[in-house]
Amino acid sequence: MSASSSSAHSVVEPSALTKRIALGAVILYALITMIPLFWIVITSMKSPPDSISYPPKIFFQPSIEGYCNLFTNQTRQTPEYLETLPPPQNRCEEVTRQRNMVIVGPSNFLKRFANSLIIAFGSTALSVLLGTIAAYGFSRFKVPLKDDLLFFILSTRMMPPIAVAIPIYLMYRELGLSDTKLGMILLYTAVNVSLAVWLLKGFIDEIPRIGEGGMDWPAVGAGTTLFLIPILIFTVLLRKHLLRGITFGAVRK
Amino acid sequence: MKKLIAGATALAASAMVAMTPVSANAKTITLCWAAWDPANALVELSKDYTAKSGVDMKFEFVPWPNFADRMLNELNSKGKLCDLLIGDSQWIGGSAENGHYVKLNDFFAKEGIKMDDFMPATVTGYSEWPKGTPNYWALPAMGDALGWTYRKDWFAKPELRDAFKKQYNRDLEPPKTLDELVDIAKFFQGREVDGKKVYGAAIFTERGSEGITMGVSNFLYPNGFKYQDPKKPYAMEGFVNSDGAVKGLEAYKALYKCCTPPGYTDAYMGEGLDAFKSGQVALQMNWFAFFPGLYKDEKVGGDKIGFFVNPKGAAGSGSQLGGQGLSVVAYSPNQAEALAYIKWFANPEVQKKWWSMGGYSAHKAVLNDPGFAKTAPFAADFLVAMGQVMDFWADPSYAQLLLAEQKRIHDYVVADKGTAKEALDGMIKDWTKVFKDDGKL
Amino acid sequence: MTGQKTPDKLVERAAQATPQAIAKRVRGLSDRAIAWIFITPTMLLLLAINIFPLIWTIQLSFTNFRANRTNAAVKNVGIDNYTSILSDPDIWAAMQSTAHFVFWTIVLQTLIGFTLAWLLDRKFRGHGFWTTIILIPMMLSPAVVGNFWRFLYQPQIGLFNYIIAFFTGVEPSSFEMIGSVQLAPWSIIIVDTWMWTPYVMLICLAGLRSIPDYIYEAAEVDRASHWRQFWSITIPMALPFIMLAVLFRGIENFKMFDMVNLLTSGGPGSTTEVASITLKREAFEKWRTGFSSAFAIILFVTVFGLANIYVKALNQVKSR
Repeated sequence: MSASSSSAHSVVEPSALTKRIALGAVILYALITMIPLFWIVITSMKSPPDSISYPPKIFFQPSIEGYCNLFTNQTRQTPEYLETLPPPQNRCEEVTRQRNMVIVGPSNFLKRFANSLIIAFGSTALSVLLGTIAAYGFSRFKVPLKDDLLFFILSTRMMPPIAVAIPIYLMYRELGLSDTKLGMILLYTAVNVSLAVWLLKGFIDEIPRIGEGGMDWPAVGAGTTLFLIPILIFTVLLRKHLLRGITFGAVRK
Repeated sequence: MKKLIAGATALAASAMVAMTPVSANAKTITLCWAAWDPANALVELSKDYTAKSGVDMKFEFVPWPNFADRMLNELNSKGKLCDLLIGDSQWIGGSAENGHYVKLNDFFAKEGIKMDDFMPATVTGYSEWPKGTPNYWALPAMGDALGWTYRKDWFAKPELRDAFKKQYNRDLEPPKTLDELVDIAKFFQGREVDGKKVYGAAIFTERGSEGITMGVSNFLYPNGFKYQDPKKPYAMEGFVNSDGAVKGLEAYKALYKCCTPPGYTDAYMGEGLDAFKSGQVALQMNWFAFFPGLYKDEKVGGDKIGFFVNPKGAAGSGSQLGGQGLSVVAYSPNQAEALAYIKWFANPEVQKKWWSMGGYSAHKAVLNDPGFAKTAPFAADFLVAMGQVMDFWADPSYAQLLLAEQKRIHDYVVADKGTAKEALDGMIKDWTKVFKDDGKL
Repeated sequence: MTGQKTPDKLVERAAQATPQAIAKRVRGLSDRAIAWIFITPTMLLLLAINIFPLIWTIQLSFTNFRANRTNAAVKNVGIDNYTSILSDPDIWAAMQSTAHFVFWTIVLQTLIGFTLAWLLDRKFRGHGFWTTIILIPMMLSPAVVGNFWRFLYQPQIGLFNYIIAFFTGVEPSSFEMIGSVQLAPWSIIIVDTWMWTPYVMLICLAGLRSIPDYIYEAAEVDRASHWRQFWSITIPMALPFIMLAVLFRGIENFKMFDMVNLLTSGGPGSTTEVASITLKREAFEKWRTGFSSAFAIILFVTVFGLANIYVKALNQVKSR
C-alpha cells in the first residue's frame, strides 16, 4: 500500500482524477465488505434445504420458513398425528405442516431480543446519566487530584474484563444479580461510563455557563435534564461512536 | 443530601421492581433442556399435563453447544430459572455432591415409583450417584445412545451393489464390524450417486463442547478401551491406552481422513444432520434421539433411510451412552409442583405417548412390550444399543476430564499432532492430574 | 418535547417547583462537597466493578478455590498457581497464538484503514455516504459476526470458498478455512480485519482532518512534491492517531474471545486457542478459580505493561 504520488493533498482541492480514483477504490471496498451481510440477508429468505444445498444457490424460491423457525419451536410428527390437529391458522403453520412439522409454541427469540434491547438501552441511559453528572462535576468545580481521577476513570477502560470476571461472578452470585438484567446493566455501565465521562466532559467544557450564577440547583438539574434527552437519544443511536469521542479527547489533551 | 440518596435509592428500587417479571396467576413451572427435536416433542406432550393439572409449563431450551456451559453456570450460581432440569448424564456427580439436585429416594418411595421399572443402563447412567448405589437424583427421562443411519436407497442400487461386491467380495449391507463400516465409507467417498458427488460418513469432530469425544468413544469401546481398571478405580495405565484403544483411535482418524465431506473439522450432531439431509453422505453417526425426526424427513426419510447399531470391534461391542434424567433443582421455589410433574411423567401411559411422539422412554412398560420392536424401524436397534452402552466419567470433575480428552483427541485426529499412543498417554497424564487434585489418587 | 419553550422558562418553572428547604440546604453546600456528590456515584460504580474485583482476583490467585465447590476447604497455595502457569507449555502456546493474531490484525487493519481514510479524505462527492456504509461491520456484535462467518466459511455450502474459487480457479471445497491448521488462524484474522478496519479508518480520518491546511500551503510554496508532502507532513502529523488506533485494537484483540469461540472454538486441536479461550475454559468450564485468577492477573499485567510502554512512546511522538 502506498499513497499514489500523482494525487495531491493541499488546500487546493484534490484533482478531479484523484477524486475519481479515490471514489472508485472506496466503492470497491464498500462492495466487498457488504458481500457477507448481503449473503446473510439472502440466506434468511431461503428454505432450510436451499440454504444447505451445494453449490450455494443464488437463485431460489423465497421462503418465509427461516423467520418462522426463528420465532417458533416445532416438532416433527407423523401424518396420522397431524391429521388429528385443527387446520393451520396462519402462513407459518401452513409452511411447517407441509414439512410434517407442528408448531409447539413461540421460541425464546423475542424474549432474548427484548433482553438485549433492555440491557443496551438501560446501560446506555445509566452511563450517560452517571457520566453527565460526573463530567459536570469535573468540568465546573475544582476537584482535588482532578487529573489523576480522570486518568483513573479512563484506565478502567484498559482493564481486560477477564481480570475481574471471576470475582464479579462470585459477587453477583452472592447478591443474586447473576442472570438478571439489572446485573448486566450495571456491568455494561461500568464499562461504558468511563467513555461517557470523557466524552461529556469535553462537551460540557464548551457549553457557556448560563443560569448557574448563585448555585441555582434546580436550574442545574433542569438544565442537565435538557441536555440529557438529546444526548440519550444520540448515544443510543451512536453508541459505538462514543469511542470516537474518547480518542479525540485523548489526543487533544 | 440524605434525601437525595433516599430518592436515588427509591428510584433504583423502583427500577428493580420494574425489571422483575410479574408472575402469572396460575402456577407456572419451568423445565430446562437442550434445544432439539425431543425437547419440542416434550412441549407437545406436556400440554396434556397442563390440561390435567392446571399448572402452566414454561420451557427454556439452550442449543447443545452452550447447554452445559449455560446450565452448569445456572446451577453453580444457585439460579432459580429452572424448576425441572433434564441435565446431561455426566453432570450427575457434581450436581449430587454440590447439592444442585434434590435427592429423589423418599419421593420415589412415597409415590411408588420403582427404579426397577426402568431399563438398568438408564438408571445407572442418569439417576445414580455414586454409581452402583441406590441413591437417585433423577428420573430416567430420555434414553439415548449413539447409532448410525445409512442411505437404504443407495445400498439398494444394483450398480452400486455390483461394484461393491466386485471390490470387497461381499454384499453391500449395513456393516457388522467397524472395519466393514470403514470399507463402506471408503466405497462411497467421492462416488457419483444420482449425478451428485457424495461422501462416506458424517462423524463427530466437534472441538468446543463434547463432540469428538462422544464420536471417538464408539471406536474406542469396541476395541477394548476402558476408563479404568475394573478392580482398581482410577488406575488407567493399560486401559485407557491399551493396544486396542490405540487401534480404535487410529481407525477413527483413518475414517475421518478418508471418508468425511470437506470441512468436517468441527462437526457435531447438527452438522451431521445437515450432511445427511442434504444427501451428501452414505453413513451418519448420530444419537438415536434424532432418528424419529430423520425417519419422518420428507427428503431422506421413510424408505430411503436405514439404521444400525454401532458395529463390533476387535474386543466386542460398545456404544456411547447419551440421554438424560429429569431432576428437580434444589434452588427452585416450586419443588412440590416439579415433583408432581415427575410423578405424572413416570406414569406408564404418559411414557407410551412420550415414545410415540419421538421421545425415548426408558420405562420397561414401553420397552418390554412385545410389540415395541415393531413400533419403529430403529426400535429394536435402540434396545440392542442400550444393552451395550458405556458412559464418560460422571465425576464432579467431568468437565476437566472432558476438556482434556477433547483437546488431546482433536489435536491428534484433526490437527495431525503426534501419534494415537501419545494422545492417549497424554490423556492419562491430564486425567491423573485431575484425580490427584481431587484427592482421589 | 416542548420545542417552543426556552430553557430559561423551564428552568424558572423547575426552580419554583422545588421546595425551598431542599434548595436552601443544597445551596448551603460548598462547591467541593457538591463536586464530590457529582463524582461519587461514578467512582463508586468503578470501584465496585473494577477495583474491588481486581483486588479479589489477586487474593484468589494465591488459593486453590473452586467456585463450583463452595463447601470444599480453601487452601493458600502461595505462588504455585503462577509457577504452574508459567511452566505450562499449553499456556505458552496460547500466548503465542494470541501474539500472532494481535500482530497480523494490527498490521492489516492499520494498512487498509489508513489507506481508506486517506482515500476518503480526498473529499469526493458522497464521501459521507460511503463512510457510513463502510462503518456497518463494526456496528455488529462479534457474536453475530462469528456465527455468520462460520457459515460463510463452510467449504461446501459457504460463499467464501466459492468466491476464492471463482478468482483463483481452485476447487471450492478443496480447502477449509476454519478446519485446517494452516488457514484457521487466518480465518480469524480475516474476519477481525473485516469487522474492525472501519474503526481504524475512522481514527485515521480524524487524524488526517486535524492537519491544518496552512502546513500544506506552506509546502506548496516551498514546491515540495506531493510524495514528499505525504511522507513529511501527512504521516508524521497523523501518526499519533494511527498509534492510538493501534493501541485500542491491540488491547481489544488481546482480550478477543467471542469471535474466536464461535468461529473455531480454539480448533483445530488447539491451533487457534488464544489466551482468553484458555482462560474461559479454566475459569468457567473447569472451574479452577484460583488457577484462572492467577492467569487473569498475568494477562492483565502483560496488557497493562505493554500499554504503558506504548503510551510513553505515543507521548514522545506527540510532543515532537
